[in-house]
Amino acid sequence: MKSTILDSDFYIKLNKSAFGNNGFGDELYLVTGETSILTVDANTLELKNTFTPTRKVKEMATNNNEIFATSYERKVKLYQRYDFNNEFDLAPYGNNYGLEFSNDVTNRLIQIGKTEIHAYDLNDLGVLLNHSFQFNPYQTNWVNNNLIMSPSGKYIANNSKEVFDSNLNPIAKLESPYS
Amino acid sequence: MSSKKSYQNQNLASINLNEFQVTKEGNRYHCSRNALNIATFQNYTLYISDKPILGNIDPKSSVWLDISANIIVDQNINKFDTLIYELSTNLYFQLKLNISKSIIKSNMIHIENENLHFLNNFPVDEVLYFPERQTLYFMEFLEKNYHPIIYQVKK
Repeated sequence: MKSTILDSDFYIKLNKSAFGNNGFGDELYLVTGETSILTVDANTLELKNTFTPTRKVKEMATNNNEIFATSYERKVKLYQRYDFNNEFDLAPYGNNYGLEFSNDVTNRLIQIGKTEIHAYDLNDLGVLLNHSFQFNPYQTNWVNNNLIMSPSGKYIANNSKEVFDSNLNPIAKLESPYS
Repeated sequence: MSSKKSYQNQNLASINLNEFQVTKEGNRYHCSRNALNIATFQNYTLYISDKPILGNIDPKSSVWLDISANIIVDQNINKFDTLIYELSTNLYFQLKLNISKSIIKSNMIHIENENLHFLNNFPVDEVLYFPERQTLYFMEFLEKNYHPIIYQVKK
């Protein structure tokens, strides 16, 4: 096993991160201070781009197909990697929803909040083709972030330990053994 | 004094802890020893340390993985597992048998963890994983800001 260590030359107030290849090689995307998205070369840690959206960034996800989604309060905004300034909104539902793109359905954005879970099917330009949702029976927190999609795309979970399947059906709310 | 001699004569043949064995399977360590049949058995203690275990150890005064101790009071238990998330590349295991006022030590087992790598000493506050690249990105927190450091692992 070999390892290498490489320093970056910038400092950030890290809020969110994502990885991907959106047509410009492997990149690391870092949200700093809820205001800017830094695009960093994943090989060299060279800072390639700094983008400041019109709204703060609480959540961020990318689909490895040139689309970014960010959310803040009731807004979900979409951007394309080649031109971050091409910004448009998805219909707002609820508050403080976590975001993640599906691992098994191309361009499907999943959004979980306290009262609902949504799926947005987009085309390659980020235009909404279909929207579906189900009610969240667990309703644990108003702030549901840090979504994690299983590698197969069959399951998604949030920081409230709520688990759903890819059809938005609730599977379980996990209980901590320490609570 | 005479009772101790008597005890030694009766039990010496069966007090052989040099068959103590430890095998590793992931983070689980399988420990086994030869069977005991000692009338004056009190307990035996499994010591685990990241350094060779000295003779006069006091686990209560030590920090975890400086040394750790599990006390077993049933001498019929001669196989047991212990789960360790290693913080060291070297682990040492030893049994100490407490019989009456005597302590008998087993052989010491040394297991090297080849899969554990230590980085240079820098504080890590956030770790990001890029699965397609099998790469870890460490964030060092300095003066209220994160400083990305790439640590790439290649098999």
